[in-house]
Amino acid sequence: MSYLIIKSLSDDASGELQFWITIIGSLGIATLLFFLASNGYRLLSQFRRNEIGSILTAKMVVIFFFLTMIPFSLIYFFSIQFLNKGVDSWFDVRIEQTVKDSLLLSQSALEGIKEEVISDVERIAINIRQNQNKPAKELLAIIRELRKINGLTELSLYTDDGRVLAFSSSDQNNILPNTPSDEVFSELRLNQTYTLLEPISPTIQQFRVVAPIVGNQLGREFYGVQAIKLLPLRYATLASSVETASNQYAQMVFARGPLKFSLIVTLSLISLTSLLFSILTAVYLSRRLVAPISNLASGTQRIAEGDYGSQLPETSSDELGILTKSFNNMSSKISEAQQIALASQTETEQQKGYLEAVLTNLSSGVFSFDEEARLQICNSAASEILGLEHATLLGKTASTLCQPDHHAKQFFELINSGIKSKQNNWQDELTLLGAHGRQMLIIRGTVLRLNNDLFEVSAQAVKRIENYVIVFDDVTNLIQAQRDAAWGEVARRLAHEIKNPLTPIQLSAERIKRKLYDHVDGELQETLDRSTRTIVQQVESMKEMVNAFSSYAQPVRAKLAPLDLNQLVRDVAELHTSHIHPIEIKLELDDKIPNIKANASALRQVLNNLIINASHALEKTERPMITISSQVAAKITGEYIDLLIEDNGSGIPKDICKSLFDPYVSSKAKGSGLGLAIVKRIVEEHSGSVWARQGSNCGTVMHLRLPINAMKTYRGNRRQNSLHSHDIDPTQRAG
Amino acid sequence: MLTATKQPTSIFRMLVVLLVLSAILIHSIGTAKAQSIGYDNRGLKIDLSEDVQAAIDSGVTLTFESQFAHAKYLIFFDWHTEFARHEFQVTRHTLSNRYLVYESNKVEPHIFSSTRETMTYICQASLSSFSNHIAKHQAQQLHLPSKHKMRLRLSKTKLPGPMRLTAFIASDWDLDSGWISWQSDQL
Repeated sequence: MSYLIIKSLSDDASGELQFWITIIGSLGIATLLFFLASNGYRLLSQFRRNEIGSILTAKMVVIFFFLTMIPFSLIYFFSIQFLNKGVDSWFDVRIEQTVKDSLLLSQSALEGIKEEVISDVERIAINIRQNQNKPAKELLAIIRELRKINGLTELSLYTDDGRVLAFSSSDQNNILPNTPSDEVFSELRLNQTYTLLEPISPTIQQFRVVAPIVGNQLGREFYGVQAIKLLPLRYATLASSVETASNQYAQMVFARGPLKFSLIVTLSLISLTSLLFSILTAVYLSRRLVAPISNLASGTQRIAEGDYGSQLPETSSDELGILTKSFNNMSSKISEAQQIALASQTETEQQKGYLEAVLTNLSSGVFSFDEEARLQICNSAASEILGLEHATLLGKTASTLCQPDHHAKQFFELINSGIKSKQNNWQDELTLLGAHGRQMLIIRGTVLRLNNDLFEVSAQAVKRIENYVIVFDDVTNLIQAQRDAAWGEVARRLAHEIKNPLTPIQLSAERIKRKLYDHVDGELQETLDRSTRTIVQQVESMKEMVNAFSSYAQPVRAKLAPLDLNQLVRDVAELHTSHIHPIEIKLELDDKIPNIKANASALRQVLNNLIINASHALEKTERPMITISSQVAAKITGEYIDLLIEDNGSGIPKDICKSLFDPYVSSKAKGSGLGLAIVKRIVEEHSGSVWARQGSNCGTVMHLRLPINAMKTYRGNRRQNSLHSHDIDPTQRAG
Repeated sequence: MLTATKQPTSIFRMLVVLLVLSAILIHSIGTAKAQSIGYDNRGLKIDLSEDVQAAIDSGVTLTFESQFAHAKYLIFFDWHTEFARHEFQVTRHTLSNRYLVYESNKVEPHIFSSTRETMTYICQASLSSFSNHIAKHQAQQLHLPSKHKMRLRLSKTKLPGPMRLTAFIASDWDLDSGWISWQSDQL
């Protein structure tokens, strides 16, 4: 480009070159502007979209721009100065004066030649005027002679209207004279001599001189003579050279301003092209340099968003290439670690699910407290045993759980104290009066110490996290069953150990009476009779007691068969109506209840015991009445039948409320205390339940709930019962 | 794997727009309104500006071009087919203080004492040449259209190099008659 500028300044054909430089430069600028605008627009769009790398690219472009702009501005400024001074130096005053002097010298020389020619032509005109009367042939010869003598190229005579009278030329082929223009004849009419230096070609110049003859005075039609004389070759060449040089210099002086303008425009175009090209290159280089960094940033962002394992293109082997390679290795390792962690997490979740399934299906209640004694895990058995919802428990601390005044407050206080004790293992028992009545709970606590060195490592020590696991069981039924079993064993042994000697005792007493009665008399006989009778009566009484124990200890082994409970109630009531007069037995039986599977004789004994108990409680009542009602427990599932025996007696003494259904518990002086125990035993054998509560008229209500299908489990019954536990005195409930 | 961002297609649309604008600009330059050479009273007249006059007096050679064309009307547009061109080179002879006109088909120059005479001669010679060409073509081919076009202008591209850029920018150098339609009887 510099070469082109220098050439445009020095070459004579600079116009063509400069013109094309201008055109190409303009097109180049337009193209560069177009690409620069498109790149700028693209960069701006990326910047607006917050694309990674756009800011860095913009910064680098700005830096490159200033790095280019500063030296470019300096060079451009000094180039303009140099150009102005360089062009001005061409037009030196001495050169200009020399050109003017040479032109003046040429003009002076030509003027001298012209004066000589004019003098010759005017002498020729005088000569012709003197010979005007001669014949035309002689006159033509004179003209030819004059032309040759004066060294003229052509000599011709003209009339006043421009007609040629005589003509002589040095060129034999020239048959017509070089006719002057109208301007020449105008000069002639003014009686003036016309002179003109005519350039024929760059090396041939001629003088055309036309002088008047004043023919009017001669009475002839002569008017003027024209002489053409070629300038000598040496003079013509020199004159032409001076003319050319002068013209070129004048032209340069005239084009001084435009030349500066053109050169500045050309220089500006080239400079602008270079600048734009530099900026475009800066944009390209910035993008190329930033691309790996952008890729790294993008890859890092993707990894931060969880897209592990993304690989970046390794386009170079320089430091950025090494960085990209390191990133790819890191990404691969993170991906592998993530897969391992994912597998571990899946395994953990499976184990957690398994643990939850175990906890859900575990009959024991399980609590898990974190290091802040906040409840984290509560299985369904725990909420079921306590009768509390998960949502009301989870997330609360042990101390917070103690604060509400609910039935499980004592339970949580025990847990809170266990946690605070920091003992590794502890165990305790608790009797809770809860939603299901009196509950015996066995509670075991364990501290779990987890080493958290994977997550938090301090310089001093590894932090230990302590969690607490509480496992508790409702052993109410178990203890009751153990108690029942113990009582059964006692009853069986009593029946076995006591019943056997009773008969010999009775027989021996009767034999003593029979043998001795006749051998004694009087008072001794009476004593013997009373004593033996007492023995027999007490033996009978003991037999009854032993039989009762035997009945209690002996489970119902008869097969269950469909039974019309209402009919059984009617039969038993009719049987007792005459024996317990004046007690009125009122039946309120639901005829829609279905038959149940039960042992009729066992249930008959249950009814007998309950009616007898009720009649005993009504001995001091003025208008004694026993009400027996049956109904379907529709509120629950419809699979149970409720049988209620209510009296209007004095109710159950408070001191035996809790152990009403235990053996040997009775408020009567002569009672064995096995009646209700047998009732409870039979009802439970039928998978039912029985409990007592206070009636509406201060009497007692014995509530039997028997399943229609007696194959149901005891635990199922218990859950169903709990649904309407609000109307039950939990202290009197059994079965 | 990352992929390089592709150039948006809008770049090509912008390129097309740029080309169309360039074509319109070139067309507007080519059909610029004629100035300084007018047609009046069945003759052409050239009015030289001061800059052009000064350029001639400073020895700058000016080239006038006269272009002759047949006119056609096709699909709502006037089309013309150029069939001849004539050039006049005007220069000043400093030693004789005369203006010389070199024609493209002649060796010896025409000499004039003033620029007015010179320009008058150029106008007349152009019209004469145009008339001769039309007559010649009409004599040869009778089916040619009777409508013709002529244009006389100063050729800026044949100016001396340093002046060319200025001449393209400055309106003083816009010596152009534009395309003038002529009927045969006008000649």
